[in-house]
Amino acid sequence: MADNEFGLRYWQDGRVSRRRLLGGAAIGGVSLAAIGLVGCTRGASSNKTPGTSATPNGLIAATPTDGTQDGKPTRLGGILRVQQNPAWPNMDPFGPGVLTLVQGLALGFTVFDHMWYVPTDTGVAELFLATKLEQPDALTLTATLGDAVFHNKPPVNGRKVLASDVEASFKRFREETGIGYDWLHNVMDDITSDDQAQTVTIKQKMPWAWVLTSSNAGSPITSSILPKEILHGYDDLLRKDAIGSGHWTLLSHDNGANPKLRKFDKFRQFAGTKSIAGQPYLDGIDFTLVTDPNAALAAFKAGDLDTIGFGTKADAERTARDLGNKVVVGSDLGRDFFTMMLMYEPPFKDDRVRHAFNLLIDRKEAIQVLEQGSGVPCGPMPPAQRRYVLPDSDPALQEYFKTDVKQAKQLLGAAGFDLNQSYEMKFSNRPGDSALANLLASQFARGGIKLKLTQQDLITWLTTTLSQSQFKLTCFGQLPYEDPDLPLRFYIGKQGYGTNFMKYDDPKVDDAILAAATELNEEARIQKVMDAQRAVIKAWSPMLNIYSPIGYGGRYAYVKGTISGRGSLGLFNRTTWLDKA
Amino acid sequence: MWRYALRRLLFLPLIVVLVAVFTFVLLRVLPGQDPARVMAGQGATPDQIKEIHRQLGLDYPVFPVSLRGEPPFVQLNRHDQFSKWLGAALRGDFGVTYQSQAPVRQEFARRFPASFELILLALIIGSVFGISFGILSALYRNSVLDYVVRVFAVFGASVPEFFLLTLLIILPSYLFNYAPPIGGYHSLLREPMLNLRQFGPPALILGIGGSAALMRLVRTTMLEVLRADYIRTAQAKGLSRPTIVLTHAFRNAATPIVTALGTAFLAVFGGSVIAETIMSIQGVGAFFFISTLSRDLPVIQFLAVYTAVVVVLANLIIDLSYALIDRRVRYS
Repeated sequence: MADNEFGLRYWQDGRVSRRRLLGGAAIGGVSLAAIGLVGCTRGASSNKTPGTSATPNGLIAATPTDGTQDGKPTRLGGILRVQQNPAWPNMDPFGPGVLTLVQGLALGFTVFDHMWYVPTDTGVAELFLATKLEQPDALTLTATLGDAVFHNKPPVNGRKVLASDVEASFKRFREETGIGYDWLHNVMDDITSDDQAQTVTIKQKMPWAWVLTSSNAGSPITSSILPKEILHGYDDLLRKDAIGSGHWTLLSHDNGANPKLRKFDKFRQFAGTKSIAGQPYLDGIDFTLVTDPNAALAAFKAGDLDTIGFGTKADAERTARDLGNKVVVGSDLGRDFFTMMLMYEPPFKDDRVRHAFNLLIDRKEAIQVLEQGSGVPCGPMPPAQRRYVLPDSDPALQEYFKTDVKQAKQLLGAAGFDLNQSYEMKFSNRPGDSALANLLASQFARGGIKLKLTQQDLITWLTTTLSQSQFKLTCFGQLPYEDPDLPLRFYIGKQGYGTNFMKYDDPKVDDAILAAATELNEEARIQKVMDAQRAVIKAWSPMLNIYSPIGYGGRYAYVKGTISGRGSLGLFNRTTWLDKA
Repeated sequence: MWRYALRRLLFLPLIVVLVAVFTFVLLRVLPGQDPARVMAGQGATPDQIKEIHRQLGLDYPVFPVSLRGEPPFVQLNRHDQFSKWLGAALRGDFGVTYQSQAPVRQEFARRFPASFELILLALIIGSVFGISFGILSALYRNSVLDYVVRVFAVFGASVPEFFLLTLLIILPSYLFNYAPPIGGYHSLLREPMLNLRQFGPPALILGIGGSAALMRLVRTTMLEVLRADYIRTAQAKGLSRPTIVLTHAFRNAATPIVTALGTAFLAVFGGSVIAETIMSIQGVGAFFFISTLSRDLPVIQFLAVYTAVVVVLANLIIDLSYALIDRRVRYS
């Protein structure tokens, strides 16, 4: 059956436990949804929530840390106080531009509902507003919606969510552009709806196995459901307020700063029942805009914030020591990863040169120097995507992680690489990026390669250097992508399939990646994703990934019911509550 | 004096236009300044960028006159960005922010009270510290107090404010798990204690930073004045020490002190950008900072002009105050 090929599990079937389905990771991540402009800050820390430990191979258990599973909580509710950074530019999920990521993610995780979501830990779609997903053929996907109402704000006034709202929302998002919009533009052919049957039908131009994931039709931003009547001609309203049908309503905000969310009592009402078992348990979430990490840590220690994403392991350890059992501090392997790109033009068009560069990268040293040992080497697929990552024993991955200065020099010599010239590496002024650039410069110097380091401010680097491919070499921290699709699509040269900043074009690599993307059988697809990684390594494709950091998070012990390790599903968390008077 | 003030004020529009032109040029010639690229997002097509340029009016020439590389070398433009901006600005319309699409003036007005309070508080603290300890230091020259004040002044002048502000957050947190209220805005009228806790510490840091130079200047000037003959005469007349110091000595030392106060004000004004950013205070300084990062041209343009106006007015007030302090000063 096609559904199984997508790995869908219906909660009605009982194959997914209710608790598992509704569980979300620590709500602290909510604040961090709004992390850094275009996620290029140390965004992963946002999702690094307490309660789990990362194992060396990146396996993270998605287990409830405490709270509801061990018996009924004594009191559900409370207002959770979390950090906001940065301020949301406005409330409009459609823009402007790269800033959309900030408010789009934050609101997408809270105020807006979605038909389904694919959590990172299982890779299996879990139904949200949709009660059924069917795929009659490889190009068609039909979702049947459950009952829900919008928030009670004019001009929508709490009316029922219709299938045509979903259709209109998808179409409205397709009017925008961005790195997460590829599926809407290149894969989705059309979307139609039937309000009587409450069905939404998506037609694709080609079979696309990742259709449900967060980089595609399950994007936390572009699959947000908004009322169709405000999608056009209500720009002012959209900028000032957010009207959705998600579990939180937007109570207020101070021009994008310090937003307050309150529980939506009629959240996803099914056949007149009162929401989903009273969820969300919290009465609300109060964000406080704190842009300085030291200030955020101080506010947490002073008890003004309930959760925190620590900047360093040392901060986490010190806080745990200072506050003792009042807090729970944990670690989590980030889905983000640090990488470097080489422009696919001479001298980097020669695969021997790219191979040599890779051989000069000492990933263990990078982790030690830049993360005080808290990280995991990263191959073509970030290690947090554990179901899709090549095993450590795979010869290709071992070759990728190898550091050999002597061999690198031989390869550079054979390729006629000019060691007398300096090669410019551009990077943004984020501390992580500049530290990485300096370390890479010292590592490449061991092979006789001279780098000229050029630091740029983040916006210039992002909008000019990266987006317009105006670099020879660059390095940066990648976004914490939640599916294996996007990390691979950076290598695709074929037009319309990805965002290839390196102008890289290798038909063999394209074929391997697209073979995985169009493979509907999940087990077969996992194998093809691994084959694609091997193809990337074999060709020494010019995006050389370095490592994924381990992040540290903390929360006061009275914050109960958190679950971590599920990616953005944590931001959908509805089972957190505060066990305090 | 009023004619003098009026004449000085007449220069204000000229200065504003010069600053506006300078900012306009800088914002448009420096690389990576295209807000359309920020707004369009990654993967935007050239047509989409062009459309945003059109919407923002960035497709017009920058100034009414353009230079060309061929005869007639100069071209007059019917529509241009600067004239459009200036025309609207004269009507009090400074455009809308690219980020929130709210009027810049409205955004500014919302943030102004927080900045005003911070700057005012810092200035009061700085003045009280600087003047009082400067006087005491001069009166008790070469005493322990004098040495402490001088060391303090050197420390205050040499340690950057951002460092002190960071310490202000880190140290109490590290030692006592305490932090001043960070983020948001606690109104002075509604929540006076929280307001004081929020604004007091950063104002203290800014004020002390600004007072360091003031303290040294007050000390030096007072030492000079205290040696003057008329002070000795006052002492011989049997006047009390406070009367001699405050009425005779300080008044005559006040002119350079007021100049230093002006400098302190400008230092505090600039320092507020850092303080607001570190303390997450939603003021004008933090607004300027974030707008610069996101290439929000209307905001940057407005705040550059606002800063110019503040600086000109501050200098004017200082100049005028000379006449009030010292009757010998006459403006013509």
